[in-house]
Amino acid sequence: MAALPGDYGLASYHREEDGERTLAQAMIACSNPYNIGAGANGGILMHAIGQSQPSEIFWKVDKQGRSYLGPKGPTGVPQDRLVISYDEGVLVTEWIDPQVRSVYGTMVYVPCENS
Amino acid sequence: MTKATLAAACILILSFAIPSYGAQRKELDVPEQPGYVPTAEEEMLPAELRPQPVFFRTQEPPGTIIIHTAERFLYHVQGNDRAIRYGVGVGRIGFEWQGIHKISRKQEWPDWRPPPEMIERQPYLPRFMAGGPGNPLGARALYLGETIYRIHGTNQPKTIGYAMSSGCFRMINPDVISLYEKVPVGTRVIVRQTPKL
Repeated sequence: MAALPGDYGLASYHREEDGERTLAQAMIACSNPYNIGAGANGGILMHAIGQSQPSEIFWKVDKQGRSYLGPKGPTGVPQDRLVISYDEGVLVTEWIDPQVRSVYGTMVYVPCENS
Repeated sequence: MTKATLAAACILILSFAIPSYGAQRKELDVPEQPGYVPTAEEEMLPAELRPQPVFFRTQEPPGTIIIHTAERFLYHVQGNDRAIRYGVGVGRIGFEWQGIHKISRKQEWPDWRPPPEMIERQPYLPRFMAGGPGNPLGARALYLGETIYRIHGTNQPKTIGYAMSSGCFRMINPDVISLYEKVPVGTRVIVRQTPKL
């Protein structure tokens, strides 16, 4: 995993056919970026749903090789996000909690150029 | 504030005033629910807010849309003093307006961009949410002239009949889909308020 902290354009979609244009919209969203911070314990700082302040989460990998972002401990817990892909700095995640996932869909984070 | 931001703000929910047909006046706080998909039961509105043919005296030609914001009703004029009446959500206090426009664009499953003040409160919100079920703008949008205002759907049926938007008009998805299929681009839309004494 490369360093994640920085500013990102953030967009989401629910239908697969919207994925490509959502990626383009995430780039535009750098005008109001989402900041991923560096945690004090080697993790990264991101917001959980409902939080106004970020908390430190960690990159975790399960036995099947699936990657997650979430609190220290077991993988696949409701507080985790499944990492769908992390390619050339573009992070794509989905919440494990099905209710939260149904609300926010697939989240696309595109690194901003000035980040 | 940009035009796009203002347009997105149309769905911002702050507080609700009981509709004019109600006997009481009170306010409710309802949080935004991007991604929430309402059930069919939730979209079963109270009888007075469901689409229904009504007596409606007007000199406007059939096809015209007339919105009475104080009543929380949208009328689709049928001619012969008849109209189909729909329950709508309207602009909250300070965001009322009136005017005459034409539908300039129609959009299925419009995208939603939360306004900056919403993102400030909820930093984790996507700055763009592609249209689809659960999108706060609902299933269809009818754009009013060159304004920031739209008649659009909603994923919060319980807000129909209330004043809570920043000037847009919202309908439950089945109703806005039905209206969308009946009105072409160019349809005349008249927004009226009842004068307050």
